[in-house]
Amino acid sequence: MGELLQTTGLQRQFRMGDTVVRAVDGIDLNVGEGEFVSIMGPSGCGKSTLLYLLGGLDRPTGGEIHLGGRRVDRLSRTRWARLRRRQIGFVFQTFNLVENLTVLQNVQLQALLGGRPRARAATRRRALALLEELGVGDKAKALPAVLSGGQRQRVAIARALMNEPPLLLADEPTGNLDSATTTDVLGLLRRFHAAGQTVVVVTHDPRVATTAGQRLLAMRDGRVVDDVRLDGGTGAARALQDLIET
Amino acid sequence: MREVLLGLLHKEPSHGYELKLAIESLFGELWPEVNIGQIYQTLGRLERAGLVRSATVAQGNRPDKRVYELTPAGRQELQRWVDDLLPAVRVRDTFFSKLLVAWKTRLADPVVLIDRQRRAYLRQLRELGGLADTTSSLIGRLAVEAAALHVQADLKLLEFCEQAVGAADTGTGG
Repeated sequence: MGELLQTTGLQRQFRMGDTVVRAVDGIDLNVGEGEFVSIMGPSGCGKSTLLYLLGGLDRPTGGEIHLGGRRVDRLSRTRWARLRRRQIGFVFQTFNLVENLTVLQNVQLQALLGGRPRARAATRRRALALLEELGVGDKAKALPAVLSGGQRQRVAIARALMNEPPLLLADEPTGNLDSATTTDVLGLLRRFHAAGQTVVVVTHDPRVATTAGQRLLAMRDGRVVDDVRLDGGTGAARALQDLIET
Repeated sequence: MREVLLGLLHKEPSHGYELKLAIESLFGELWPEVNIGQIYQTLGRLERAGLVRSATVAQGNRPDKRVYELTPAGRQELQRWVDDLLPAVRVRDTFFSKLLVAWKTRLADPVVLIDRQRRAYLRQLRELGGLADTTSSLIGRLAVEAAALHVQADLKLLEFCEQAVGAADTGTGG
């Protein structure tokens, strides 16, 4: 398994009056191709800032980011943006759909903005196929306003995957969803991961973090304080039986 | 086991093997392969306590079977169990005790203990998530949900412990 994403000594500092806030404070990170990593921590620990740095939506004040073996933190804004649209899919807590475009147009827009050149018909076919796969094929002509939260997030996932990016980043993707819809959306992310998609999810919810990923990074005060592999049995199932049997 | 058997016998008089099947269908994946020996042992104990009684029923060419039913005392006992409230608060958390002792006696680094325990809880939570996906019975899902919520509360407590240890360290170590 090759490395897809790497950071060394990554930093993001903000100056607030006389004080310097180290939102991301020297993070060394490796994400392999095909990995599903959850980043967890209390609010204010810097996890969203980290994700924004990884996705090029914010610029680091120090350190390096390598994506697919290429150093990207020094690219100009426009080159980074172009690369980002092809290499990285982004899913947000607040969905961020364009409200006056239809569902289908929202997804197609991603291809127009930065995808590989593709015939219009092919773009439409891929967008429809993705929407179908995500269970919102029948909403293609609807405006986002008529969709439920869960449906909006499905459309946002379709949009994020439109250009077949090697890396999918998600910032609290279930933060605005009820528990049943959360389960659905996590199930979808896991399905794409099983098909080979590399995914990094940021969440404050331990349940989301543990169901989603195989690997969990715990953050505190801008640093990664633990890197946990989640696979392997713990006897929780057995313990549950014992609990009932006694 | 005791109350589960009383409850099933409240529904209908049954023999041991029927009880085994009833438990398996009620609890599903949470309690696979119920030990038949344990069922008979428990039934024996309940009978000696006067909570159930049994009668032998002949079945033609197959061996006789022993059918159990609730006694009035058993019915009362079951009702009491259903009506009883559970103890409200788990005051003595075992990890908390371990942490306090290890910390105050310098037996182990509290931060290491907390990190290790957090990893264990997170893995448990993941396993419970997997179990929730494969558990189809309602009772099973409820049991998994209960366990997952407990683990989440334990994780929150760890966060609190971590802060307390951190605050104490900076307070004394300067």
